[in-house]
Amino acid sequence: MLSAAVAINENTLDKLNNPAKALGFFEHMLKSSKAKKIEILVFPGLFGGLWQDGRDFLRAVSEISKAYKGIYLCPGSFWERDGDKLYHSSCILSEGETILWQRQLYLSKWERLKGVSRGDELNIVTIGSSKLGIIMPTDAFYPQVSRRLALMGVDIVAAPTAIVNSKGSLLQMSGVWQNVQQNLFYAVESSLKGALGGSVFYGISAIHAPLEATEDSTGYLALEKEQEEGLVIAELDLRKRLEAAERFNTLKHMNMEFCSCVFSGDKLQGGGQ
Amino acid sequence: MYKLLETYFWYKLKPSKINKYLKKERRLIAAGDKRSELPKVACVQRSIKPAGSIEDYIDMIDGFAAEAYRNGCDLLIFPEYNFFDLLGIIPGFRAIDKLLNKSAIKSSKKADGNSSNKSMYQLFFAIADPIHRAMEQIMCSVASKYGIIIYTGTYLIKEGNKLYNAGALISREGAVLGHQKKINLTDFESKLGFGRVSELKAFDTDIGRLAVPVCMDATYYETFKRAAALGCDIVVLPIANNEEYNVYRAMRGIWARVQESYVIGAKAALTGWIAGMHFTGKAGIFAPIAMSDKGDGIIAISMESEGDELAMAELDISKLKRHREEAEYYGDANEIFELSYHIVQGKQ
Repeated sequence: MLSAAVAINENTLDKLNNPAKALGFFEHMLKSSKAKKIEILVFPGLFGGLWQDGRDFLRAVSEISKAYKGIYLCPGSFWERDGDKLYHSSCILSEGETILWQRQLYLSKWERLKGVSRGDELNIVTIGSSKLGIIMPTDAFYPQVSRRLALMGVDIVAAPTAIVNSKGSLLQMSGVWQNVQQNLFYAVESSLKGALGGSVFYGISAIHAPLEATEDSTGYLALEKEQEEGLVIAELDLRKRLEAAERFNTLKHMNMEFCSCVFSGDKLQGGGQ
Repeated sequence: MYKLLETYFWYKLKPSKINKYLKKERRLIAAGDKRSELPKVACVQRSIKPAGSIEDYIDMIDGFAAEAYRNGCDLLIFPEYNFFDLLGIIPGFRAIDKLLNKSAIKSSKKADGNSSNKSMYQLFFAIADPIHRAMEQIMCSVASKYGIIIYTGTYLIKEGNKLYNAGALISREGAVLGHQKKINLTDFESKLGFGRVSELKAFDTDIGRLAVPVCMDATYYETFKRAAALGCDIVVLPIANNEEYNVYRAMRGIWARVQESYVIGAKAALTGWIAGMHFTGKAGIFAPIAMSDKGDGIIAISMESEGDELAMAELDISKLKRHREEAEYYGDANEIFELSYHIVQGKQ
């Protein structure tokens, strides 16, 4: 499947300072994707944070997506209000329909301070012959989320990320990139850059694959060019993913008796000397 | 033939012979640097050198320990398959080894160790006990000589019909504190028929609480999460990677695990050639990114991916604990999700 992550630069958010401009950018990326026959398109984490109310954002992007048949679209993440609770959520849209909904399961420090609630389910959807899931921004740093997706049989993950205080360090690599290496799925990561809601975000948009499925053994199928807006595109070949797993299959040799008990408290194996 | 080989190894690695040489080795050496308040760790990176005798092997181990002692280290870590050099004791092995390595280099086709699983297993099975006993004798003596804690690196432990890839932690006084067997095996080890365990132990020492999983165990986040849950601040990892060095490949192991679990990781690496197999890897000490000056999560790392070197660093556990408290992406819990986690994963 031909997939793309939207790359923005550090000035993009300043330019998109109101919902109308942001929707213009959104549709521009969809048009480019249609022209390039993209099947999976992912926008940055908190792209919907430009809207006060996540429902307005979702209504607007769903409406636009109706005209783009054949594109499975992750519009980035947004704030979902449900009663008195606020969730950090994302979804997959297909021609105006929501086919997958995901609430973030773990919270960063700034999200806890903001009073955000945690979701409690991890969901996947089948598109064609592939299973697709979503890794939410903070969940990228909690490897149990990716592991569970892998064990649910996911092939491709949409990762709209928004990482604070990461510029100039390898923090981002300890998120989606390393989860792909542990779990051998593909990931389409679109990362937010710039200041939003009092926090400064930085991340590179990239398409990740297991090292053995990349020609230069880096784990990157495609990587954004610095400060360039546009689409980062790569073909996700499921056959190549399986071939890579034959060479280094982490899941096949995983000791399930040990690993499955990681959260089961006193049932955990091991202890003091 | 294998019974004969076992007898030969018992003879060549005779405790009295080892003891005699170890006593001779107990000469005075220059005192180590004045220690700072912080514990210091040394991770061995070394090339395999098939030994002509047990004395050669003792000299090699003692050399690394002396270097660590001179640098004021408290903990010395040896790599996975730290016994491979002792295969050199097998009559004719060194000549065959040279031939196999030369041929592998020339053809650029490395052995993957999969070609003769049964005979390799039988060979290891025959020599496991004498090597196990000899290595612990040597390591205990060297630890007490220099007053440093030693992780032995791994060797094979025979239990019933099974072989386990395992190592031991030795106290400064030269006592075996305990063993840790490998939890997750490589493809090669699975095919050989090695056993595995489902238990991670924690060891209390005067520099902190340690876990000592083995190589492939660092491919899985669960190992380090478990270590952290057991209260370990330091995770020791011996490796022996039968592949060409690649920085990205290296980063999917202990580096990534340290970032997720907010512990300090100390890795020792076996490198070089044996029986046509090529091992590469860098010894290093890793910490959460925020603790490292360059924002790369590396406290110390060896210069090259092959050869003899010690990667050394002081471990600031108080600083680690401060960073845990301040971390943006660490320390959250989701009870509902985690409650069902075990059930879903167990079904797979």
